[in-house]
Parts: sequence; C-alpha cells; structure tokens
Amino acid sequence: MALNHTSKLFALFILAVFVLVPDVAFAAADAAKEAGEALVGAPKPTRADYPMIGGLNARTLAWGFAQMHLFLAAFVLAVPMFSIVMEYIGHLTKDERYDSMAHEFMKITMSAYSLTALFGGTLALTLFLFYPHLMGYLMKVFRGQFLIYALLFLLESVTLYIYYYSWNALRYGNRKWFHMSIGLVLNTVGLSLMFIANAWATFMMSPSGVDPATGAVIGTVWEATRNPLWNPVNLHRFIANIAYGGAIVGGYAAYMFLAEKRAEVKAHYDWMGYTSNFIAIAGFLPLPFAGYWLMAEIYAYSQQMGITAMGGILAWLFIIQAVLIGTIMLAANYYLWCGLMRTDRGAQYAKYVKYIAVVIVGGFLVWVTPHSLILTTDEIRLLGGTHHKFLGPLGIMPAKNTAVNLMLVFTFLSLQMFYRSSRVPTVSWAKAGNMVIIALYIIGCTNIVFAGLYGYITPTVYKVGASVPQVVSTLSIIVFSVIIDIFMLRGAKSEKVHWGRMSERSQYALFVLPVAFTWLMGLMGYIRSSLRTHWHVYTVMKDQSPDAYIPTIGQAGNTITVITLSFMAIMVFVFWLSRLGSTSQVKPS
Amino acid sequence: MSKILSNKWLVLILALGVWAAYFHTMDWMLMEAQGLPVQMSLMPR
Repeated sequence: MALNHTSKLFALFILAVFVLVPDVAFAAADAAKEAGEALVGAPKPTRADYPMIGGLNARTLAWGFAQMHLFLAAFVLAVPMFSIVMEYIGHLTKDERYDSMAHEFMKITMSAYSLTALFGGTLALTLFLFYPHLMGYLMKVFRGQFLIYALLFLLESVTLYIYYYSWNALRYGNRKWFHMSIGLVLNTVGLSLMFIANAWATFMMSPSGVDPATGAVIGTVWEATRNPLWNPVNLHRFIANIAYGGAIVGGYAAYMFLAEKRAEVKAHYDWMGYTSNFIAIAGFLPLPFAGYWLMAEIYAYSQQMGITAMGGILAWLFIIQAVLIGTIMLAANYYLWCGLMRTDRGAQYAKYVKYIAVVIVGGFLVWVTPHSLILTTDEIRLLGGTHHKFLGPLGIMPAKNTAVNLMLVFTFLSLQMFYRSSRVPTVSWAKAGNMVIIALYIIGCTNIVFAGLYGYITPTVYKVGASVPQVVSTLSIIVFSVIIDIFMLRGAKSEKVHWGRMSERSQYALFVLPVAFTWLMGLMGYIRSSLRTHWHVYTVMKDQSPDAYIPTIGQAGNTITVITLSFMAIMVFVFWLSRLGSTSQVKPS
Repeated sequence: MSKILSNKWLVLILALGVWAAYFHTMDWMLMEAQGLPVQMSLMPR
C-alpha cells in the first residue's frame, strides 16, 4: 500500500533523528566517563618542542592543506543538498530534466570526493606531525568525538556511493522516495560532519568547557562543542557552501557549454548554468547577514578579537573582501542580464539594465572606499587631513551597509526580471500587482537609505542598531516580491525560453563566480583563523612555534592566491574527468 | 474595489502608503527592541 506524503515526510524526519541522536549521546557519555580524571592544564610547548623537518614551513603547509580540504569539502557537502531538492522538484513536477541534472551534479561530486578525503588525511597527518601538543590537547577536549567523526565519514562515503549508483535503479514511484531517503541520510551525515569540524575550529577561537586560566578540561564534550562561535559559523558555512557549490557547478556547466558543438547539448548546459547561477545567488543573498551575525558574536565574545579583525591589522583585507564580493555581484548580474536574451520578451526589460548597473557599480565603489588610508606626510598635507573630505564619510559602516543592501536588492531585481521575462501574467489584477511591487521597491530602498543616514548622525552603538532595519528591509523586499509573484504568475502564459541562445562571453561570468568565491573563502578563512593571533587556542594555549606571527598582507595574499590557483587547477581536472567519463570512442569500422 | 484595482496609479499611491506604514512600524519596533531612540527629538547629536 502506498504511503501518503505526510507519512513519507515523517519517515524521513525519523530517519534523520536516528542519524543525529547517537552523535550527541555518545559525546555526552564519553564526558561522563572521564569526569573523574585529574585536572591537567593545556600544554605549554616551547619553541624547541615544535618538530622541524627540513626547511618545511609547517604553517604554510597546514594552511594550504586545510584550505584545499575545506574548498573540496564545501563543494562535496553542498552539491547533495541542492541535488536532493532538485530531485524532489523533478518528482513533484514529473519533469525528468531536473532529475537528470541532479544526477549530473552528483557525477561531478563523485570525481571530487576522493580528493576531499585525500586532502583531509594529508591535513590530519600534517597537524599531528608538526603540532603534536595542540592535537593532543584537542583530542583530550573532544575525546570520543574524533571517533564519531571517523564513523560519520565512513557513513558519508557509503551513503554517497549508494545515493549516486542507485539513481537509475530507484528512479520512479515509491522507489524514488526510498532514493530520496538515502539522499536525506547523506545530507544529514554530511552536515553532522561539518558541524563537528566547525566545533574544533571554533573551540580554538572561543574555547568553552575548559578552565580559562589553565585550559584544564572541566566540561563535557558537548560544552566544548557548543562554544560561543559554533552556531554562527555553522550557519555561515551552511549558507556559504550552497552558494559555493552552485558557483562551482555553474563553472562546470560553462565549461561544457563552451566545449560542446551540438545545439541540444548546449541548450542543456545553458539551462544547467542558469540553475547553478540561481542556486549561487539564492545562497549568496542571505550570506552577508549570516556573516554580520558571526562578526557581532565575535565582538560579543571578545572586543579585542573584533577590533583585530575589522579595525586592526586584518581590516585592510576586508577591502579586498569588498572587491571580491563586488566582483561576484557584477558577474552574477551580468550573467542574468545576458540571460534576458533567451526569451523574446526579455528585450523589453533590457532598458532597465543600465539603471541596475549604476546601482551595482556605485554600491561597489562605496564598499571598496577605505576609511583610513596609508599616507605619507606630503599626501596628508595635500589632502588637508588624514581623511578625504568627500570620500572619507563613505569609508564608515553606515555607507557600506547601505551600499551592500541596495546591491542585494538590485541583484534580486535582475533575477526577478529574468524569471518574469518568460511568463505573462493572466490574472486580472496584474497591473495593480506590479504597482504594489514597484511601491515596495521605492519605499524599501528609501528606508534603507534613511536608516543609513540615521547611522551617520548617531554614535557607534546606534550605527550598529540602524543596520538591522536595513537588513529586514532588504529581506522584506525579496520575500514580499516573491509572495506577490507567486500569486500573480499562477496560471501565467509561458513564453518559450530559447535555452542555448546565450553568448559565449556570458559563460565567462560563470567562470568568474567560482574563482572569486574560492578566493573569497580563502581570504575569509585566513582572517577567521588569524583572529587567534599568537594563540593556538585563544587565551588558553599559546602558539610558541616560529610561525606565531601574522604575515604581511602581501604574504597572506600571495599564499591565498597560490592556494586558489591550485584548487582551480584541480577543479578543471575534475571537470575534464567528468567529461571524459561520458565520452565514448566510436567503434572502428 | 475592482474600480480601485483598475486604476494603477491609484493603486501605486495606496501601496506607497501601506508600505511606508509597514516599514515605519518595522523600523520603530526593531529600534525599540534594541533600546535605541525612535523619535527625532530623542536622537543623540
């Protein structure tokens, strides 16, 4: 007897609970067992205690392997998340294209999976080899959780292989539900793995469950896990992974689009590129808000740490961050504008593109304007002070918050124009509905600007407070527009979308996205890790190694760039491998 | 009602008013929840 949808969803939920519960329970049991141990503080290694192997720089090695593992892991964890959503959409709409695309996304993941494990293993070996005291201490804090991590990794491998290889065997009817259940287990395990790894990284930034003076373990594994920065990082990485995964598969679609000659195959990869770009933007739009929460929690945990990040030695890197995010937004918007040409109605929206471009470029310029400049005495004299009288005010947060919120709103507008270009509303109140949306944009954007102005005339605490209505305004515009569109486009007349009718130039925008995302992740990962300054575990275990210093911006930039280029080389190899897998030699006659 | 809906400019004016009320209330509530001044006369200078 077939189960109804509610029962199926309930079954999936129960399955997820079964996977999650042991994770937490075992960790707690471990802690209880070891509670009777004598209290021993965190190790205090001297410089001589750090192993030196040849001329190898331990930090650069660990940095490189950790970053490569993280890039690959983010991709490998993200793709199954949106693949299962696409599979579900395909099942609901009975449109097999979604199912095939989800399957193809997973194919790319499979090529990258073994590399993820390879870099993870190399990272672990590097850490144990060069930082034995730190790793010993972390094992004492997290105890059995390391074994659970290993177990989950095994489960991840098993479910990933079953999910991918059973795709065609479990494609229709109730079997499809079974297949999606495997996908759900895979995603639950994947997320658990990420949450555990996040706990280790965030414990090093904001330790809990240990004695603040000595570092002695006094709490349970759960207390160390649930440290102050754990959930902000969990949320930020969860959303960022989706955006990143979308950008990477978009790069794959562009690669295939450019490599293919057959029109129908080009059309398929154009559609895939559009979907990937949509996923990347959907993940990217809420990302600044999650980042804002993380930063606010860092300030709340330690003002010193917050100031090191945004007002101290690392502050200039946030200007590079602005350049990279601006690049992502310009590329994503450019791709959407090119996409308007896929429909015959799209041209009528093209006239608005220049106005959107003005806002995006203007916002980008405001965002990259630094507040404090590194100037010579002559330059200060010529400038009439340390801050430029017109550009100086654009360097502070109210201006940047206003700029980024308007950029997000107008990026959403580009997306809205695209999906509307292929649909003609048939409801009687369509004109009125459009007016309601126009009014929403006008008032919402005005509110963002006024909240920014309010931030200018008030002290810092009010500036931070004024950014909250800006965020809610941006989200309100997006959410209400989508709700109105859902009702307005019900029963809409569909216009033919000419998939494949895209310029080759537009595909390079899809290449820009993964490169800029990768660079951005490398940069922000470096900042997050550097916030600990000369501590392995912040305020608890000092870093006494020869590398216990913050590198110059140039050195950090070069290292991040080399890592980014290495990762992109690996990705090109993965794309090539995926293409090779679907190529058959013609039988000789 | 249908007469109002058929005049798009009237709808625009009404919608501007409704959205202004929504955003104003939202601003007010969020600022008050954070303990920040919401009236111009209370604003620090």
